[in-house]
Amino acid sequence: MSAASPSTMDDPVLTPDHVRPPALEAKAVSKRFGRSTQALRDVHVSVPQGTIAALVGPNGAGKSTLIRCWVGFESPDAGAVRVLGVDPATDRAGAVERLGYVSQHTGLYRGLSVADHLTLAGTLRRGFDAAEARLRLDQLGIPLGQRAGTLSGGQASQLALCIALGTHAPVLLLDEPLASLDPLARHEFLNLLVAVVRERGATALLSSHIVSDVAAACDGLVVLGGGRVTLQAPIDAALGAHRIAAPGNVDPAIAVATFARPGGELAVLVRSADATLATPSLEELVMGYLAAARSPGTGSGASGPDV
Amino acid sequence: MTALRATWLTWRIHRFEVVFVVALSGLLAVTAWIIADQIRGLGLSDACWPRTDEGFATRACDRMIERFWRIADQAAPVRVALTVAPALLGLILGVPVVARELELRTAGLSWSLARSRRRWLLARFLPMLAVAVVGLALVAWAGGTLFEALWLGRHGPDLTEIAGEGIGLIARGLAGLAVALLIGTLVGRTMPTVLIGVVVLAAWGLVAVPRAQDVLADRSTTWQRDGSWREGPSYLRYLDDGMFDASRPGRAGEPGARLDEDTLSRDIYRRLERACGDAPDDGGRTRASRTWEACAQPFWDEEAQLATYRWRYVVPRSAWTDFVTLDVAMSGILGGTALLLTFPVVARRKPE
Repeated sequence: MSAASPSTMDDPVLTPDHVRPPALEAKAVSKRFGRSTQALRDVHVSVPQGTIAALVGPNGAGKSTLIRCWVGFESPDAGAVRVLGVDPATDRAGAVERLGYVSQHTGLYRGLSVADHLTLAGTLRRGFDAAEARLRLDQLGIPLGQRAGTLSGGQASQLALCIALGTHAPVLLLDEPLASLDPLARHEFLNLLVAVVRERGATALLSSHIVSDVAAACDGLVVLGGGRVTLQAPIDAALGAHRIAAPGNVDPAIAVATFARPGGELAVLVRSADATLATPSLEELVMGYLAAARSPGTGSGASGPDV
Repeated sequence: MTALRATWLTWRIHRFEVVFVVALSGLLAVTAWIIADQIRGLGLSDACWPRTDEGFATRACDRMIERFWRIADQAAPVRVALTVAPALLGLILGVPVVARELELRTAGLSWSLARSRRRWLLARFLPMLAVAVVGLALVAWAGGTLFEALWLGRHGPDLTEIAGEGIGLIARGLAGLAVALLIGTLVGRTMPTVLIGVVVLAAWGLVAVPRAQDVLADRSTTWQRDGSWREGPSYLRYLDDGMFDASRPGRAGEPGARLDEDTLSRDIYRRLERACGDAPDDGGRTRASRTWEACAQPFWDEEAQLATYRWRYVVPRSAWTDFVTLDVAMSGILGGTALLLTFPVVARRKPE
């Protein structure tokens, strides 16, 4: 596996959106669990307002930990996170009221009905729009009287999303919400999310370890590998700035990493806009950067943001 | 309106525990009340109790007292249940409030929606507290009725029964609820919380409270020779019984020291050895043996007297309130501390 020098802030193609202020920020965030597990290492992330960003990485990359830092469920050991400028460590209530959160496990009460969940959200969150949530659930064909314990995985995720959307929070954090969904349910979930977020001008960060899930829905991409951010950029710009080359004859200065494509064939992800080379798929782009993160001594993604 | 909806949701979430507690309280109360009613139905009066060589006051009294003891024996499990009930009811209601939310990961949903986790906890805790107060009050009333009926035969309650009736029972139950709440928040798992809660409450009820009662007892009790209580004033309530030497001062300067039978026996035999030496090993047939036995006899007599040293440790009715107040205060300290600690712990707790 070959590696290249890290991408820099000077790279105009990969520089994140500086026009729009960030909705979600993480600055030099590190988090360790116990003595052996370093979940996050000096993570810098910035998600501009009004965008949908994908937080991608393998299992154990630190995606959930980072999201939980923003929700205030974890405290960084070093660095700081902000939600629309509010630090959950010092103003948890302020951060919470700016957030809608869908956890990996949905957290639904098995014994409560769908309608009870809307009542619950209404008692906990001032201004919760139960009517809108009810309307969306109706559109999705989820009966209000049904007990959450009897909902399918897809319906449970949809309910959790409808609750998050009912908060009218300007920022949505969705932690692996698609993990247990079949393709149709995934499609419906993303359609609903994208429609509402675009309509409201809200911001969403969607974590997933399946890149293809989020490719169509997101504007931005944050790749986490081994607790580090290995790539952060608008998806279109990132794809446009990389190419796939055959191994062997690649300038090490532009090589990100060598990785195995789905068929087993080795390929090199390079930082180049050379029209004669193939444009990578989003999955290949992510695999290249994850491979770079795994390779010891690589420059790429060794610390901090790439862009 | 929001408070009503929050209460309704708490009922929906914890309905099994609430129904169980109400059913258990009701069952205990009805059982205790029926037993008390049976005892009251005997028409037994204080006049029946003084015992003579021929038996109790009259043949009718004999029959009534025999029936009384039969009913009292049958009531023993209920008495135990009444003593254990407060902690049990508190644990049943307190454990799921936070522990189950953490275990089933529902806390993540609620806490991501709630501006204030303290308010969230209050909304969950207050309805459970109300259920606990109602259930415990029912049991406390029934316990009081039963013990009052049973005291007919004992001229007062045992201090260990403080937890089985009245405000002491309610206070212990509420302390159990608060302790379960705190442990559940720290541990985040239902079954471990139940086990730790049982250990903590058992240690509290069996060690801490009796220790404190002992200290208070040293100041407020009198000693009464065993067997004399039936003839003694009926207002006496006993705490404990045991060996007692009226000639020695107690540890708090009270008239008389509590003694331990083994210690006394060892003391007697030590003195015997010092005074008479070792017994000759001749099967008691020699003159030396007879001399030694004559020397030892007063010590053997002294040991035989030990059984008559058994006195009862009694508390006058006037001091009963002090014991109840102490019990309630200790429960209040335990429960209040646990509750005060729970709120900041919930505010900082990481959900799964």
